[in-house]
Amino acid sequence: MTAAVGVGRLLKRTAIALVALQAMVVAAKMVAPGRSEPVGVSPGAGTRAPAGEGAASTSVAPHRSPYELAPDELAPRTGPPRAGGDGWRWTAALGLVGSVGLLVVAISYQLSRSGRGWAEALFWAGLLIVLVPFATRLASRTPSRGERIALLALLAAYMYLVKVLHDPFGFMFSDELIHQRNAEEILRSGSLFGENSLLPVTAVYPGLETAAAAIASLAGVSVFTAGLLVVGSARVAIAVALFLVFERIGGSARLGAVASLVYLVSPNLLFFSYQFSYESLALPLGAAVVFAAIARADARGRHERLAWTVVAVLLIGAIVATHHLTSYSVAVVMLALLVTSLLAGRRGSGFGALGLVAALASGLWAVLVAPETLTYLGDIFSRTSQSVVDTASGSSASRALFRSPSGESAPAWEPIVAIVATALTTLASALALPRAWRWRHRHPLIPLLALAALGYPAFLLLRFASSAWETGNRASAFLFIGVAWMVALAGPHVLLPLRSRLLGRAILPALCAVVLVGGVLSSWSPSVRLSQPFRVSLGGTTTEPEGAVAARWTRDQLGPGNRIAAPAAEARLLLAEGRQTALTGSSNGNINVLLSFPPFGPAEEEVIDANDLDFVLVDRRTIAFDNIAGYFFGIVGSRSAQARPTFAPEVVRKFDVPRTDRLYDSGDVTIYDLRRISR
Amino acid sequence: MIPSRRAITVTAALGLIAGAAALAPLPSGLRLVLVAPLALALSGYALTAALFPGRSLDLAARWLLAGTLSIAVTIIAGLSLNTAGIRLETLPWALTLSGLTLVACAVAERRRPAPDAEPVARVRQPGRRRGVAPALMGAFALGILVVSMVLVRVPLSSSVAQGYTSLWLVPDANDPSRLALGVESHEASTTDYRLTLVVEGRRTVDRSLALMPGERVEVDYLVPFTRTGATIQARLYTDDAPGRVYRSVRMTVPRADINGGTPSPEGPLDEKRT
Repeated sequence: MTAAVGVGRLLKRTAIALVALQAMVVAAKMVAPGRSEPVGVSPGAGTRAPAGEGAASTSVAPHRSPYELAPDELAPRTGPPRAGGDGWRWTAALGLVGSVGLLVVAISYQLSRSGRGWAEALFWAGLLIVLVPFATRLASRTPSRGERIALLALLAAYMYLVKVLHDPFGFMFSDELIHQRNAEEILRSGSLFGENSLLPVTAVYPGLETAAAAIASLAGVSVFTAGLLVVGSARVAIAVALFLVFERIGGSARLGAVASLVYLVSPNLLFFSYQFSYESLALPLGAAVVFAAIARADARGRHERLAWTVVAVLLIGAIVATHHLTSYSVAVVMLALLVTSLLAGRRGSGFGALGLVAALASGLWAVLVAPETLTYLGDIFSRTSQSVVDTASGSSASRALFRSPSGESAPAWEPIVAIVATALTTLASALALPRAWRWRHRHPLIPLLALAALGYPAFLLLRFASSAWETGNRASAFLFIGVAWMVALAGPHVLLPLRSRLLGRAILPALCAVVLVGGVLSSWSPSVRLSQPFRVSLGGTTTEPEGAVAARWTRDQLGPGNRIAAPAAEARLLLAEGRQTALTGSSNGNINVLLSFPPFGPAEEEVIDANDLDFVLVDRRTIAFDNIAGYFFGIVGSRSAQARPTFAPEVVRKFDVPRTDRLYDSGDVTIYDLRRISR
Repeated sequence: MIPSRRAITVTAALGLIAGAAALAPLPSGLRLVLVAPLALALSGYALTAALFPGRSLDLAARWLLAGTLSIAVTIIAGLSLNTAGIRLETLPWALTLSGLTLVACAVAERRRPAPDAEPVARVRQPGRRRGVAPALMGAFALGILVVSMVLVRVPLSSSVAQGYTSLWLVPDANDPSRLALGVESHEASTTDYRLTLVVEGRRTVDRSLALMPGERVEVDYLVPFTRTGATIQARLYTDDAPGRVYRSVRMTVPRADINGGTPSPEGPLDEKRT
């Protein structure tokens, strides 16, 4: 029995790498010898292309792609094109190198958790060991189409594993805990549309949680394991979907691969878009819808068109139930494709019909199932616009970049790299504009991608506004698709003047490396970029930080469903681990004021009464208000632990008044019973 | 690429096995390996094979649709079951997803082009053998990934993190004169404590206890009270700093109608050490 359990555990751990394995299976299929297939076209429609480009380049688009330039226009080339068998070897070799890179990242995380030096240097080294070989191979002319797809799928899986290794014990990014609660509620209640006190709108878009709950229920695993598999599969899918889209519109497998590669290094993708969060699933499904719509427009015959319609409608249905903004974006993109098609003189593409389906479905969902969506999004947009106006007019100070919410500043070199990365992508997009303009009639998606790329820098500016930065952050996941396309389109502009073969080969991997590093630097403060200590060994057992232990204590001793006010990080733990109705922030009756300012008075009683609070959790560490960095142990003896600021004693003890009961005390965390005030 | 009869048969078989595995008492790891493909690949692959029976779809697009449609179908199946008032539990999930996969496989098989429309067997080209090296490299890569996964899951030494101790005092929901007093050590080493319980200003419990890291003591006390508003306060001290209160909790008696008598605990009714 023990052996069976041991084997089960080992299998479970191995299954975490299932995403990578799945990518490897795809890889094996893709690079099988002699495989050279047309892209979604009928038999005989394609003619075989040279092995270096894959068949797609000639079978789909009759126009000439910038990546089909004569060999001497790019880099000097010697010898015949490589055969498909080489692709298999290359893919396996790069898979091995990438896994070594991941091992280096894993070591860096372990060093970081123990507060030892070299962790950050190893992290960057590991990331680059994963990325650079893949980028170099993908940018070269030799791989077959199948090999390119296999490499992209593997790279996407490896980049996702960088995030998985970051938090191996459970979901730790702020949105993840909110969605974890929803999924666990589905498992417990057996039904959808439960309640979520921190982000109510997530409960009425249960697509991600439904898929995770299905796997958790079928396989008997935790929501964490199931969620990792769902998001991992989706992130591999988006790499392939974007490749197929870019390849179709660009007429070149190499162009498609380069554009998809650039998307894989987009700023904020590494951790933010790999979260167990609804957008992480919806966006890949959205990319698949765009591919299906384009394939449908090119389809030959009624049956094929109908099949693509069924695919697109099923995917749209899933998106509508998964994420509000992505479903609206799909509708907008489809309708915009209709407009650009008509402008290009194309009719009967079917984009309009799919756009209407998406608009109607998402509209009906918002009205009938999720009426709170409009209020939620309206609040965000009004807050964003107000913040932009305030910042632009100087009435509120601009947000300090490269500083964490807890006030930690980044070293001086980091802003430089981040700015260089942004400047490079912007420059590349600008260089590609003339080509995008010349190509505007080649495919209706091309003008839209150019527009997205143009909009990207504008949204970056939102990062300067204190209440708008998150909107800019989230928008970048969508808009960078356009940037990736434009950067790939700019490739020949950059490569053509280069006479050096070495430079020609190095420039794209170098660009990808700078964009990846710059993106991570600009999006994540040093304290959370690397893994932080969450689980420590205590003799024969393990323990976790005070917030997590307190959250589970509330579930066990007070029962679930109590209304508890808490700082941002602990509120999420109370929601997910404690199964409580947690309240936090300023949008919930000014809980932050309740927790941050002394003394206890009528205003506090008003907030307690208005929110019908049962309990309050007080944390003396200000970092508990940081929903990204507030979950972890401080490392003994480290500078960051010593520098962790705390509230003044009068704030911490403000609830020590006669009408409260102090039920729990673990040093930093205290829980008070407020029921004699609220009732 | 036309989905082969063998691929469709294998998909149907795997769908069936996954459905059965979900209901079988297997270790969760094994169940995961058998069942996860049902929601992540099989149902979508079968559906794609049914929708695109001919050569109109290449392998990459087929794999993309297999993954994305599987997730989409799972989401839509969940919504449908929920709307039909069926609880989202293992049996309905297994029946729905396995059933969908099998039906889609049957449709795919029925819609498959006649055998003569299939291409002739691919002739292996000389010099294109895969060899053993790539497979070995793939196996090494997978091994390194598992090692990485195991490495990051190794808990840190307790000396890395600042330890702490939790103290709590919770009245019984049905009988406020019964109190649960608990101490749990998350300290790095075995710690000696002194625990006191003060009822209406009188120290009624004063005991020493030593807890190993991760150990917890929970004691149920019966405390008769004399008046409403009487306070009970528990304090914890460590032997390292016996004069300084290390942890402190307190509660106020909410009602007068509880047992009267001497304000002293009747002693531990039940003590659990875990």
